[in-house]
Amino acid sequence: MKRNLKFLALLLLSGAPLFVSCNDDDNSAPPAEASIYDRLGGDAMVQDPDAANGVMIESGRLAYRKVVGRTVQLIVADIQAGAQGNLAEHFAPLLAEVGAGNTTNLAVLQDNLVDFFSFNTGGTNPVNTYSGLDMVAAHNPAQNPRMGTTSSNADYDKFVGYVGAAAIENGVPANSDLFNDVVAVLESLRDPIVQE
Amino acid sequence: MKINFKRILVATGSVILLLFLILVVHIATAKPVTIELATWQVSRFDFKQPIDSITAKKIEYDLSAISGVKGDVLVKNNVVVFFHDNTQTSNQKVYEAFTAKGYKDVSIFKVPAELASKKVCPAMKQNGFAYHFSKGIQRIFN
Repeated sequence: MKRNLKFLALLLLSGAPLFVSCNDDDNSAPPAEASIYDRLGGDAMVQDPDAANGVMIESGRLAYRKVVGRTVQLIVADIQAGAQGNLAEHFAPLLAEVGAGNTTNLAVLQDNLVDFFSFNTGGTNPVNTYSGLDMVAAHNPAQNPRMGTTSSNADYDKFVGYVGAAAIENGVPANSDLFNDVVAVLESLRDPIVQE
Repeated sequence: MKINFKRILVATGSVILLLFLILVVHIATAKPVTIELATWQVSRFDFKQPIDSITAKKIEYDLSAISGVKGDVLVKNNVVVFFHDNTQTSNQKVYEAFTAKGYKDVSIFKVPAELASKKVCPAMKQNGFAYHFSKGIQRIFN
């Protein structure tokens, strides 16, 4: 009997680790998910392909600039007078200036978009500081004369579609976490931007 | 009480001079904002017919090879959109170089008059005193 008890005790002791080794009560915190900006390249400096030799740019900022540039091209490609469903009225005054050789406001718009998205998705270095209007004022023609007209939900859907297409063409796979996170950021801005 | 007009005049003049100096220093120290790709202009060529995928690739290649054309070229349906540096070339020169490569039935897209007429107000009247004064100070100090 004593021998059996000893054996039983030994069995229980040897089995004890089994009850604690699979304990999923882990004290270490899960690793923080990288920001959108980091996943686009972050603040790693690379040669700016669109500037003179030696001019560097943060990879994340470059990624956003490529997407913004492509978004502008997609908007321009769809502009047609009198046609529904394109963003002609919002951007036509700007493009008329550009057509006349005045590129300042287009450059400012693109810079503002790159700054805004970079800074608000994790790229918080000073180069990305956004100094434009808040989203409500920026999209209210009464406060921002650069805004041709107010935006409706349909207009904003169109804009989000352009940005999504631009992101895909710049290597962000559709339905990836990164793509979905970018769209989520855009959707979070719908409320202040849509004013119709 | 006797009002000393001379003292009032000196005090007022001093305040005005001080404010003027503060204005000049403020304009002089305002650094011009650096904008990336400041001279990039977006342009569009319209073809009469839709562009097939093989021609699209050729167009992207040919257009990118023209001096002054920058960044990526977009070909969509019958439309080609690209950026060019307007200190290096113009959309007319790009058009001439492009059509010299054999492309036909293509025209430079101009924003329709009814859309272009929706002008927006400039931030500052460019023929006003305030604009010329600020520009003059900036030119001296920057």
